Amino acid sequence: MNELIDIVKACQKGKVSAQKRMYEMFSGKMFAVCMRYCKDRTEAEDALQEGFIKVFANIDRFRFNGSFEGWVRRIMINTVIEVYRKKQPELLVDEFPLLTEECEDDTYDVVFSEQELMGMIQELPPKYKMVFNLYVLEGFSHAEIAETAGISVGTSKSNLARARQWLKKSVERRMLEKKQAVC
Amino acid sequence: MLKDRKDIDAVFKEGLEGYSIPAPAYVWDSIEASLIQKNRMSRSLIFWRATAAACIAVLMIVSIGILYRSSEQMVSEPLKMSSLESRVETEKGQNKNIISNEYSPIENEISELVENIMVPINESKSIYKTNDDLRVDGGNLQELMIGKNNVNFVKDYEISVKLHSNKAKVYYPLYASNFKTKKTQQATSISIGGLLSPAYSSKTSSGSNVESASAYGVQVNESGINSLGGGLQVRIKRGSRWSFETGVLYAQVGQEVYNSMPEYMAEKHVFASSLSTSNQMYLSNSMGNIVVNNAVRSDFSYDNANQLAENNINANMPYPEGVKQTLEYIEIPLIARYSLFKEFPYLSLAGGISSNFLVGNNAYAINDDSQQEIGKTENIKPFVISSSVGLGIDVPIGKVLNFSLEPRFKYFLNSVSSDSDYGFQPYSFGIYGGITFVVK
Repeated sequence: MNELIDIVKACQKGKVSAQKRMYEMFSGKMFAVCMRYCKDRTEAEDALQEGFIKVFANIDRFRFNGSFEGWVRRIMINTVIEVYRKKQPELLVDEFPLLTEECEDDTYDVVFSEQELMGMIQELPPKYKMVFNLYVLEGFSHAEIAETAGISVGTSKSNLARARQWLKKSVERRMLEKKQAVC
Repeated sequence: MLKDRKDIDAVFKEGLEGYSIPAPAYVWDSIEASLIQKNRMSRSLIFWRATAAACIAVLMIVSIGILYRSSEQMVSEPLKMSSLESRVETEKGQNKNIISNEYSPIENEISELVENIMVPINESKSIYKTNDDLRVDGGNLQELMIGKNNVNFVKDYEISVKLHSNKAKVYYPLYASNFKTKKTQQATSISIGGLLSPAYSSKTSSGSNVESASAYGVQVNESGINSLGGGLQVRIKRGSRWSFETGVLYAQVGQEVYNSMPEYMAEKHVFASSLSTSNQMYLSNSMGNIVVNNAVRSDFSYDNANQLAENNINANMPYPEGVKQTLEYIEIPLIARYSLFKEFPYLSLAGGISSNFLVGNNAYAINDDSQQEIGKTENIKPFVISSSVGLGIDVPIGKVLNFSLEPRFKYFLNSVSSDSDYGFQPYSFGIYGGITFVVK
């Protein structure tokens, strides 16, 4: 923890060695974050680069009040959403919310690797993927998602429901494949 | 890895918690290259900010100096009158030693001249004559010397000076409107701010009575003037490298005129006369005839003038040695600006046209270190168009604050005079500096 504080302070002074050390500490996790949102690896690399440049440019604003990793992650997410705005603005266009009945009772006991889970998320249509990531994996509320992504709360809820349905089908399909493989 | 029964959210949330994917090495290389470039830009920014700060300081010093000098010239006039009297008294004492008794009438005339040297401003019939007029009207010279008795001219003059001082004190406060500090993501930004512009103004001219004056042996010396302008500016910038500016600015142009006479003419008394029948000053210049509102002084004789010159006691005499003609305009510019370098958006080239509305037209009699308003130049157009081009440096000081500095050349596209005999087109070179606030 103290090492991280020292690194952050050194980065605030503009020391390149500290910046590199910080990159090494967080680049893996942040690249995984970018991969969850972006359509491919190249786009994720671009977002990672741009995100870290923003981190170093704004590191003076970090006041050691909360989790530094959370602060970096938030910058990465904002960067990725900016990429959405620039490259795929149609994905953020609000649409009439279609509320879907959700079955909360579905539970799963199958084992999935991280790569398998990532694969299922990346198969999601982009606008479902973004809302699912923000709500489930980042812990945003629908109001925060609406403000961050520039969509309505209703659209956020609707897209989350669709994402869950999509993922449930993916999970069930893979479970079936696993059972068939065992048999 | 997960083995317990979980809902779909938990499957993904817990399954991907702490998940890490090694990033390719070249990503860091790109980041490092970008950081190095930013550090260079940052150093460059520090340099420009320091330069901007130095320029602000210089601008303020120059501006305050010009304003202070203008005010001091006006306010110090009454003091000069008293110092003039003491000076002449001293000179009178010296003259007693230098000049023999045969010059005693001159001494008396000097004394008389000092006592009657000014004509009150309400003497509107007072006018000016040229050297030639005075020579021809030699019979009236004694009459000219008598001046206006029974008038407390010092008091009137002080009142006049106060009036002119109030008129001359013009302040150009920087304007800052309320602005929001909240950062916006909109492509269009609007900046508003104040400008100060110390400038040197001169002219190109054609026609005029300068050539005819030269034919009579009068050497016409015209020179530019220093002035101080400024005002409010609004800049609208789209996302591109183009931006557009308008605003309301105060600007001053003009010239100083000195007519040198041949030796056979009387010394320097070309401007004032109390007995002429015209109220126009026949001063040779390229802007236009000067219509006189109030006389500067009554004149003195040809012989006495020469004598005064010989004894070098005319240095502080309040008769004009030259005339300054100024035109004041409210300028509404429309300027297009283009950032020269995408990577370095602080340097820009600006050009455009301005509508200039005449708000002031004054002529001043100039002595060594003071000036007094005497009238105005006739046949000046109320509206003229000018063009301008400049190279601007725009340095961000904070998030919403910019310092701008721009050497700008301005040229009037048509003559300021409606008289076709006078083709007077001013131009000026000014340093426009100021602070702008990003309001949107």
